Amino acid sequence: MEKFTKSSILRDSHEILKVTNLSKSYKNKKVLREINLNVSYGESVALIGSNGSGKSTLIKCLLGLTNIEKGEIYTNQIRLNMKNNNLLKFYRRDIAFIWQTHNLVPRLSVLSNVIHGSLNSHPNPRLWYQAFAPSEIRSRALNCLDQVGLKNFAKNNVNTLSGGESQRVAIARALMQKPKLMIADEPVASLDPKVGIEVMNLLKDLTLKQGITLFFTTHDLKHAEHYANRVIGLKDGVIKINIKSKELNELDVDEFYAA
Amino acid sequence: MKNNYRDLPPRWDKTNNLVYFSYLLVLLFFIWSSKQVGLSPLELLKGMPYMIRLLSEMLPPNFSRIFPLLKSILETLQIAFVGTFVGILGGFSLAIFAAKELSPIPKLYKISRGLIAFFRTIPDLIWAIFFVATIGLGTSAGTLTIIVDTIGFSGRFFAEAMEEIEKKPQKALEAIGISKIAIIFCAVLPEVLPSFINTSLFSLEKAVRSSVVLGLVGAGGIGIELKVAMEMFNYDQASTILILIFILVIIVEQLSVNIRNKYINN
Ligand SMILES: Nc1ncnc2c1ncn2[C@@H]1O[C@H](COP(=O)(O)OP(=O)(O)O)[C@@H](O)[C@H]1O
Ligand SMILES: [Mg+2]
Repeated sequence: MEKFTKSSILRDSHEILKVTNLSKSYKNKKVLREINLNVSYGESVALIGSNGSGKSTLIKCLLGLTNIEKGEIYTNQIRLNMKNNNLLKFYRRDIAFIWQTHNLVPRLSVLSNVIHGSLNSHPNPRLWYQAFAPSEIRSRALNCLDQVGLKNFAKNNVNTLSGGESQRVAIARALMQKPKLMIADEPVASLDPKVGIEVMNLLKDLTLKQGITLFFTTHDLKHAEHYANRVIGLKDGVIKINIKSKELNELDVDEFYAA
Repeated sequence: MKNNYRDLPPRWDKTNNLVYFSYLLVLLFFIWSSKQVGLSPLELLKGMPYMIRLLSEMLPPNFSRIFPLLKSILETLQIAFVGTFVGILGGFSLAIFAAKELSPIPKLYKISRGLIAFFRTIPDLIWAIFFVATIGLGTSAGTLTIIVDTIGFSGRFFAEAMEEIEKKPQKALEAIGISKIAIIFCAVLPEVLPSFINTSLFSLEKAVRSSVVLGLVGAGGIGIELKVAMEMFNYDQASTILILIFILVIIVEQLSVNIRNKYINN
């Protein structure tokens, strides 16, 4: 059996995310229609869909980065009011977010960037730059870097990193947050296929080992099959499939390739 | 080879007559203005003998008062340095509020913008006269002038630099619930640092030149020495002062170039 962590104790008791009747439009264009979905603790869920199917929009809604037109989002059975800044802050603290591009702060060291991951739970000005950070935090950050295989890069400037290395640093920063949920929006779409597989393996292994729930989007069906337990298919803003990844077959999948 | 001139594009794009008319107006205004301000080669020629006489009286420079003058030029540098340093801190603080989307208190956006513009639009000499009149002759008035002038100058560039940078790193930290102040220091500041260093160095260079002139209205520094020397017809002392000013400006500019090369161009 896997190690028990704080989040795995909660498993089965609550859904980490529950979305009901979520709709969203930009101007007059309906992008999401009546979305319903659940994510349970410890799961790994892939959201698939072709370009423009609304994956990123759904994720932005989940994180409260854009306003929701209709519908509700719950975490641990608590309804999220995205206008409640205090609640939003606590909610976001537990969610790590990996973007398609790494979005690290340029010109800073790798270590400073990783340390930023802990700023939301420790709002301490000493964590702004690695040089001032307490040893305990620096050591934890180095440990996170070690987990993504970049321990020796701590003092490097992030501008000097390759795409794959940068994305690993972003993962290390996410781990620094000690998140319960990791959301990744096409985390490897801008990387070479080979590097992409390495990064996906890393994401999968680390989240599994640490009991972090993983929710990622991809337009690569192989990734959905390999790295998720469950696959949700989005097309034209509607959920078309919601199945175990083992059950994926050519038949289900064709329509997600159609332009 | 056959010349096919007919296929060539027109040299001038068709512009409407109003545009030509406004060119003409500008030209007429220039001609009238140069008459008005007395810009003529003849005037320059008439002044020549006096210039030569003044120059000959300036040479050789008289170094008898070199020590008090050195003290005074150091004072000028100190006014510029302290004024720039405090001014940059002030300019940065105001710029945070004056950068769109970044302002921790959006209500203060317009006010901070306005304040920066106000500081900038009033020339430094006028600030100096104002401070001399209110807090009295001396270096405090000069330093305050440089502070206000630097806030106006650097604040604008700081705010623009903060608005122009890539927003994604900030958004990424915002999405995990990090406070605005923290984001300014750990995501915005590192990105704008080269531009800040550049602006700060320009501010210092500008402040050194201003603080020389400010002495003329009694706001401390070497300027007053120059004024006195000229009014007492001690032209040989005036030339010493000019040499000192020249050396100070060159040193500060060279230093500024070196720092720029070290921190920005790599
Ligand atoms: N900020 C926006 N303003 C207007 N339309 C948008 C915006 N973001 C996305 N869209 C539109 O919404 C649709 C879904 O986009 P998106 O969620 O980015 O899809 P995906 O991530 O699946 O490629 C697209 O048609 C896109 O053009
Ligand atoms: Mg997308």
